[in-house]
Amino acid sequence: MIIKNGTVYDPANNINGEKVDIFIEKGKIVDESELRDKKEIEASGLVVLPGGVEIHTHIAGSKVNIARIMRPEDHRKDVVRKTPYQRSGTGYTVPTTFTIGYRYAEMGYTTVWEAAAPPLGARHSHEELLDIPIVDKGIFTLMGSNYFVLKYTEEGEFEKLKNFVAWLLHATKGYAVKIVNPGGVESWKWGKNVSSLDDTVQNFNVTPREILKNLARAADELHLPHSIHVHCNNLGSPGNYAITRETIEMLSPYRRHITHIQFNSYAGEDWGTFTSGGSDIAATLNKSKNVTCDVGQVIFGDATTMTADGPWQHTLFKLSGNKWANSDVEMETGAGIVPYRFKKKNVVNAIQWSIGLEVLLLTEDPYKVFLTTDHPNAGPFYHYPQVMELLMSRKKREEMLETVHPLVKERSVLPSIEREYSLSDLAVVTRAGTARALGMTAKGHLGVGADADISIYRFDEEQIQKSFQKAAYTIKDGVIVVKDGTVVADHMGKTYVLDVKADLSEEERQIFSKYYTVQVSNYPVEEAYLPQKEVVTCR
Amino acid sequence: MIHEDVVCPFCGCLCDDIAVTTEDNMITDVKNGCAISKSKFMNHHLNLLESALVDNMKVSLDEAVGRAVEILTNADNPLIYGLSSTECEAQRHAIHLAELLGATIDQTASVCHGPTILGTQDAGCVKCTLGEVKNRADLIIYWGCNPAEAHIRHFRRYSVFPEGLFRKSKKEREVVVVDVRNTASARIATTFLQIAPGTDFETISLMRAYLKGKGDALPDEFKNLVERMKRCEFGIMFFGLGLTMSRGKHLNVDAALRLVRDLNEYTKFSITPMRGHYNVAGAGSTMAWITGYPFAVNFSMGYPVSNPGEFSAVDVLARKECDAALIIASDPVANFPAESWKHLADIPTIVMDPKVSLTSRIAKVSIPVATAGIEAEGTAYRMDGIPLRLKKVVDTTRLSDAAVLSRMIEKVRA
Amino acid sequence: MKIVLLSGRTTKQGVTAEIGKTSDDYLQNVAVIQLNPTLMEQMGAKDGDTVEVQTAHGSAVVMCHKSDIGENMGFIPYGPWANLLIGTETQGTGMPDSKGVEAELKKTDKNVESVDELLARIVEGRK
Repeated sequence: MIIKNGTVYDPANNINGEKVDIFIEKGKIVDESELRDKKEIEASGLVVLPGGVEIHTHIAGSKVNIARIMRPEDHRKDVVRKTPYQRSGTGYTVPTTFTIGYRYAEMGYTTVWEAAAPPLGARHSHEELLDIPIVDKGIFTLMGSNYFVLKYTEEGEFEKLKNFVAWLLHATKGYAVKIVNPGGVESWKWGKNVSSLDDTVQNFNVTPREILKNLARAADELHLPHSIHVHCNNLGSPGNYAITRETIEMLSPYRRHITHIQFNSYAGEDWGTFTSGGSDIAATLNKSKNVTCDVGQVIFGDATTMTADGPWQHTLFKLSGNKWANSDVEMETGAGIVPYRFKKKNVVNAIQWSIGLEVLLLTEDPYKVFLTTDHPNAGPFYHYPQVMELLMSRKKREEMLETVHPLVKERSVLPSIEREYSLSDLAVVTRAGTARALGMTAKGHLGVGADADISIYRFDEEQIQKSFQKAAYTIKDGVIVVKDGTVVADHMGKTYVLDVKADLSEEERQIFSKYYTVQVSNYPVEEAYLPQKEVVTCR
Repeated sequence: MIHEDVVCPFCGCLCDDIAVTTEDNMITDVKNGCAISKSKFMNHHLNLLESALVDNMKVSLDEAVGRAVEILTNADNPLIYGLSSTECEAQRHAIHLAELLGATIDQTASVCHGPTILGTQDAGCVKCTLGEVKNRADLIIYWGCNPAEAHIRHFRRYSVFPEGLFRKSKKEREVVVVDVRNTASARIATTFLQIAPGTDFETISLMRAYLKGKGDALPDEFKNLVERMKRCEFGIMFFGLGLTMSRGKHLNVDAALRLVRDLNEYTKFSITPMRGHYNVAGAGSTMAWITGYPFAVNFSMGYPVSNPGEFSAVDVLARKECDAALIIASDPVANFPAESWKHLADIPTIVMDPKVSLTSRIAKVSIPVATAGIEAEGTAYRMDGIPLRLKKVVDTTRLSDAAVLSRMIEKVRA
Repeated sequence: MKIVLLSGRTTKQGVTAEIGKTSDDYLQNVAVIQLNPTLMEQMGAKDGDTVEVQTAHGSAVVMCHKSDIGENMGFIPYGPWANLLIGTETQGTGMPDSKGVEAELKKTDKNVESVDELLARIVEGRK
């Protein structure tokens, strides 16, 4: 296949709006000389980008499905009919699996990562991934309050910790180490929390600082393709930008990704004095190395909050009065779910909205900061084009600022920011940057050897949001899966796993059989759940 | 040959430590399982559906599948029902089939913990896995359930007796049973509280009022219980069909969910339903991730719509709204009110089951299948949502539910 | 004799259902009602006698057994006999009133129906 005459933005290969033809053979981008199938897509006047790479979303597994079960009122607002190429489903804030795949693809995204799998529920996460069509996918494995992680951190047994991390990634068929409110999730199992990097965890002589450092070192020494993926302590609380900054700084020189940093960039002392810490966080990002983040941009409207951060979800339940689910997992982790609505005229919500944009616009290097909504925590992923428009147009931001709570103008620097994203910047924060941070060498670019995952848009700078909402074409593995914003092929992507291998010691097996309620032999996720897998080498 | 760590495909405990001995493709011994588990493994080959049947005549599998598809595609409003005693792969296919047919699909939770789902949709649910109970709970309440007879190893594996991380034995746990009758489970309790049938809602609501300082009318022994619930370090309430099947139904569950939720102002407290069939939690899961709704779903609009009471099987049958039925791994003739199931005898009913069931006795088409978890692999979800891999310990020439359903899908699409 | 009817699982019901729903073992364990000995005495029924249970929704003949259940109650294990006695109204929940149904109880000379008889009685004339 040839994509002819398109205007290509491929920042990883320094192609910035040039007319370049792209050749595809057997699902890969190839040199013209290797082309056999001469089918053409005429792309003159169209913008050609690498397929979108989502670095942080909640689309599969136990907590997502609890949210679906808990929210029938959500689904009825947004129904999806079956077509010859599409299964039916429901959407809105917690879409069904098939609908998730289609909506990402319609928007031009071709790779997505479920950002929080409880190890004991990993089989469930993978089972849902089997029903998410089109996109490539995988899971991050929750470790920040795992019993063995706490035990080995307490005992100073780093090599054992590293071995356990490798084993757990292997057993869960996970791709990265996810850390949520390190230590706090264990304390929540007694109704408590931690509130600083040096608090000790209930019943363990361990601090969040030690957990983070040990896991960051383990991820680096195991040469995992992605760094640790951190949901910081104190998420959601006024003044939490300080702990976020401290976390970024104290983890140097290890690689670290701070996720949905908007929720952790709050200044002020309480809800009354709540104000943006976005510029401070951006300054920290600008001067730090080996750090990336995604923003978790607020979208006004309905959301369903869901995280392993059980204590925060309990707080949010009390703040909102909405229904609350909690789901603690033995020896490992927990989760909480609360429906939420972000309102333009709510001063805190409006400031939260401004913070995500501040961080995206004030962080100089687009390879350090990525676009997410922490779907569906700050809003559904299919609203990304709304954010893209705000990033690319100061005028649109000014229009929007007129409709939100007026205090934003005093408590955020957003109104003064002049920067407008170029298409190249946008391609970095949604594609090249995320792929690089994830260590996915065949994604996020259009060079020879890359996967033929490509999105093509009818770009109109007067209608940026509309331009990105529905791709003119989405190509996945060299197959046209979306045309004119509609799914036109029944296609299944791959699940990404690592080639890590490790065994549990006899002592670990004994602890396991005593304190888990499943047999250790039944714990690792079987190959049956990975009918189409891509194994990534750690080096 | 001994198969270790086999997952038991009977109840929601989904015990995964069963040792099954096979000789010449026959199960000869079962260790670690409860009486029912043993019976399931040892007797799985008895009273089998010997052949595919149409109108009680033996036919080939292909013929039966063909006839089933003809019936289903010719129906205006087919019903697909069952699902909880088969693997998730089959459930996923059954949902796909329902979508293709524009059918109504419901699973057995609708006559089990359906009201629990309704309660959760209103109030949320503060739950935890069973290992959390074993490791931490110092106060365990069983309300309206009788694990001694229905979830036989629950006490031993998950709650009362095992050694946990922070609780070493029964001595460190208080066990309370609340029921309308003095059950075998009540005898294990440190405290048994008997209530009159149909008073669960009042009792729980008064407990919640008392928690908020207003429940003067609450009997003293329950005031005392609330105090202990507030004071414990980690509390758990397990509840069963005593709440879901008696007057109040989802309102009973709603009250319990809210009581437990509010206790988290004082301490850590969770609540978990005692799910019956081994993969009923999986049926709710698969339906939810594919349709958004865990039960009582209709596809006639081309997209899923859920409405318990409208699209739940007992109601659809009682109102005679379906004109064909596919029953998968369930026996509604044994489990539904007679006035409801008798419509199954009036319409062409297709049954997929390893065994002769009461429903297969009245069915137009019977399709024998492999027993999931004994003769076929697959996924099942424990009562607390933990997924486990079912094992195949003996071979069979019969196809799995998933394989039969996938043939039906192919034929419908052809 | 007025009672409140309860239903539920028993181990024997579970064990015998796994042998087969049409097995005699199953019938022996689900076509039964557990009653308080005092109540049985008042009715003049001995352990193993048959009683007829009548509700607003139907009737069933089952064998009675002594148990330490309350005097105003009767317990029938889940199964086709218990389901002869409950209605189809679910109040919009999908769940019929399976526990707590009011019933009238009397001693009878009738035999417990076999599975075949039960099916035949309900299905008969319907096809």
